[in-house]
Amino acid sequence: MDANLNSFVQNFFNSLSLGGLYALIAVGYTMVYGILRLINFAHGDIFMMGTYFAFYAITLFLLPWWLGFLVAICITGLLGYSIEKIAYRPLRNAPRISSLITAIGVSFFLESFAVVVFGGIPKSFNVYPKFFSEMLVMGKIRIPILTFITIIVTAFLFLFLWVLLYKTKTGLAMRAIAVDIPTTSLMGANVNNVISITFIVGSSFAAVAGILWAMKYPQVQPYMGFTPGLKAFIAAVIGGIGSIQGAIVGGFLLGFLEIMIVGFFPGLAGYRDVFAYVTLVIILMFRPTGIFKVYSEQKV
Amino acid sequence: MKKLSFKVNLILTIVFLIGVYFFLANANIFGDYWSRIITLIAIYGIMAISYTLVNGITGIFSLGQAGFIAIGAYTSALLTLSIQQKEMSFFIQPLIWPLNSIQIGFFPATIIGGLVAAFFAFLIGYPSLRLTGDYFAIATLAFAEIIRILIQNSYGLTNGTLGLKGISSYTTVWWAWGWLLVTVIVIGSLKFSSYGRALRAISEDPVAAKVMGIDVFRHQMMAFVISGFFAGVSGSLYAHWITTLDPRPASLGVMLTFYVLIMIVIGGLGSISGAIIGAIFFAFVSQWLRMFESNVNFFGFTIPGVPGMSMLMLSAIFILVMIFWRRGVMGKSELSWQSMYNFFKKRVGDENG
Amino acid sequence: MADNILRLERMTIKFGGLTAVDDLSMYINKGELVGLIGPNGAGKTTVFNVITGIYKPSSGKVYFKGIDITGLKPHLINQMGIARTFQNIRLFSDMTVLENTMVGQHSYFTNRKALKFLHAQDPQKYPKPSWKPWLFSAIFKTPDYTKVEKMMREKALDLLEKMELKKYADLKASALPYGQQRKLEIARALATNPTLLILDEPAAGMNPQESQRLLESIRKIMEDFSLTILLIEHDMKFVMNICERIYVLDYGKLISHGTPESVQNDKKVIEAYLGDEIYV
Repeated sequence: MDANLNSFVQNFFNSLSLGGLYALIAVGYTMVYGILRLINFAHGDIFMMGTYFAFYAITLFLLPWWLGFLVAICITGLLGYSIEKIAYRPLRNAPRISSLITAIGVSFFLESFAVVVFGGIPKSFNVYPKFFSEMLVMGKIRIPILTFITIIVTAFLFLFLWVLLYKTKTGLAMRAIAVDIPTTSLMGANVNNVISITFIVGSSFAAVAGILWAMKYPQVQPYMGFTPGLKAFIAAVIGGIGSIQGAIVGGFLLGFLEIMIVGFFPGLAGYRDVFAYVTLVIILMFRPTGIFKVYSEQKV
Repeated sequence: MKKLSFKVNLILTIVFLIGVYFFLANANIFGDYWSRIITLIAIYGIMAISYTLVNGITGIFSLGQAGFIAIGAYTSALLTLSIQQKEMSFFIQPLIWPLNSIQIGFFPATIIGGLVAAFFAFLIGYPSLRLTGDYFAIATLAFAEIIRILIQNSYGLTNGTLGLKGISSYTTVWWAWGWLLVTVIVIGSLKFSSYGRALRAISEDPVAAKVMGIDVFRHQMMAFVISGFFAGVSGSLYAHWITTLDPRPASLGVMLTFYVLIMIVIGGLGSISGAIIGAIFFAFVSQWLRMFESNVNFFGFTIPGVPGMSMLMLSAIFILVMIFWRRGVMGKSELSWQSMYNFFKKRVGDENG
Repeated sequence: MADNILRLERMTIKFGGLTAVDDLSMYINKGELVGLIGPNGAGKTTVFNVITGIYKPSSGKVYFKGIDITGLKPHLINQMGIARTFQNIRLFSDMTVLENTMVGQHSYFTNRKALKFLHAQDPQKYPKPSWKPWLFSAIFKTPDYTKVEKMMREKALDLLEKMELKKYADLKASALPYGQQRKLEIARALATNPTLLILDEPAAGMNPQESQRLLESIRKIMEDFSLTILLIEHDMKFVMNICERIYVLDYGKLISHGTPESVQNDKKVIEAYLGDEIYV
């Protein structure tokens, strides 16, 4: 009995931290989709690049860990900005499928770039103070400190996002553009700038998620972004694509689903990723608009 | 411009086919390596044509192609592997009945591989085709991943992560190009039939197509299932070319779908000849770029090889094509004797002023 | 009453909180040419979308030839005999003029379920569908299929000739001048062998001469193909000239109905179009 309660508590906090990571990545997907109706396939790889930036900032440029992390986050934001400007903006007036296909191309470009420049062999992400790998021990319960840090950082970032969206003019423009681009630009908002900011914010969040992820599963490799990216996208769809609350709720929901199911049925560990995909399929069948419905029927 | 008669077209086509026959019959002049590549081109061609039927001609964006290729590959391999080989390979969990006691020939195994893949295309298409563009893409991607993970975990059926080894190398130049011919004839005939018109209409404007009496769902399913069949066939040919199968993401996952996507985008979405051109392009470029992955001797300097360079350059080319040359080589049209005649007549005409 | 080709009963269409069409009832008799007019946003195209099965009404029913077609799939409704054109031209632009027209005939020969349904409704007009899977015939180009393909092509060319579009047959639809594109939309709809033809602003963007020619061709095709026609139009002269009866919609509600003269002089109609100004 006791052991079960312990593992339950451990799993619970683990779910919170994993869910938080998914939520951080999902928010990037949902913001871009809300504005451009584009599934940014490359988002998971931006997550991966952020991690590598942090890695090299510390190991190659010998920056202190906190500065390295900060620099990495900024550069990743810049990367998101550049991708939008170079690959997506020229296709903004093309059929949507073209942007989708291009996004896939960007995704593979980033992955192969990482293989060529960073090397395909997984690297160990031991670039931060030992403190982060410690455990908090409460009786028989052992929870990694990183879990709490993840939860705190995630909460803080979502608070920041809320302030940005609801208390600033830029945020207002972002929300307006998600509804209607032409009208918003007529009202004086610089659409391109707002879109760029959206990508910068989304990519920075992905970088934070990447760094926290690499501390949790301390290994970086060029394809590390594929599965978390796909799952985070699924989380965004479950929550309701286009809705930021949806992305957050979806992220935590997916984190819980994954950890709890494997917690109760350890035999299913190999199928861990499948739950997300199956959930996606079920949601798409019965409620494709997700939990927080944003888009209703399109007019003919 | 003169219109070529049916007789001329027929003669040119027969001459062309004879030429291809002689080329293939003497393919081993180029050495073992290149004749293998020539076989691979045909396999890529089938993958590309089956994919362009869905993404190009019918206009629905599927990301699940690798799943159907994998199903075809595994199904046919499990059927052609000898019983002893299966006993040896499946040492974690024995292969289930009846597969552990069957061994059949390459041709029936390929057909069955195609049919099983088509069946899964039916199962997957039925719920997925209710969704629109982006969602359909993600759903098919999810299904393809589910298939791959199931393959990876079903030790009793697929030998899981151990994969299958010792698959007989049945895929010769003739089998591959023979199947390619079949694929071209079937899908080409489909494209240039009333159904082809219906599919193209659906690809342009599904609502207008519906209002013209076309059952959009049924036709999309039809294209998806036919595509699944040929994807399965290509999988079987691929399995018996590469002789080992493993369900890692890099070999039978999204990466494979992306390779085929590159082929059809460069060749022209919706063009069968474009798909073949794309397949040829991809085969050569990926082989040529592989050169950069090992050390190159250049006037006495050794340029160090960079692994992964081929993918990097391919994806860069892909992005550039999408931004600047979206229609690809053929666009939606097909290579035909008439079009080539017109093309050359125009050039010659211009030069003569 | 028994002559009703189309009947809408208390149709209401809501999108979320917005009521696009409110409690609309109307009917069209065989052989009539009826107009549906109203200011922009009055809900006219939405009515068309429900009739053709693209939307489901929130309440109310649609009867075609006495059969309840409410909520049936669009392709089935088309096969039963209702064809339409769109307000913004929705041709298959990458296909040729001839192909656009031939597409309309595809389903007649291939949709077995629809054919069975139609055969049950009208055994004389629609033959019992054969058991043969038509797809294989099409792929392997059986003699049966080749015969049908030839027939479809001839009928399509015939239709294009009647619409004076035959010379464009092998041109891509997008290459046509605007006025011809609108005619092609109608030709394409006619290719599906409709009993009722619904036209959504067929004269939009046309100059007076083109509109006049269109008017005459509509009269002609009504005769040639024994059609019933329901149309939406903004061009008042066009509507008054050609329609036998008119329904007027404003904010989704039916505000007037009758002959062109009575509708023209109806105060409610004048107010709807012009506000409170006096109509001179």
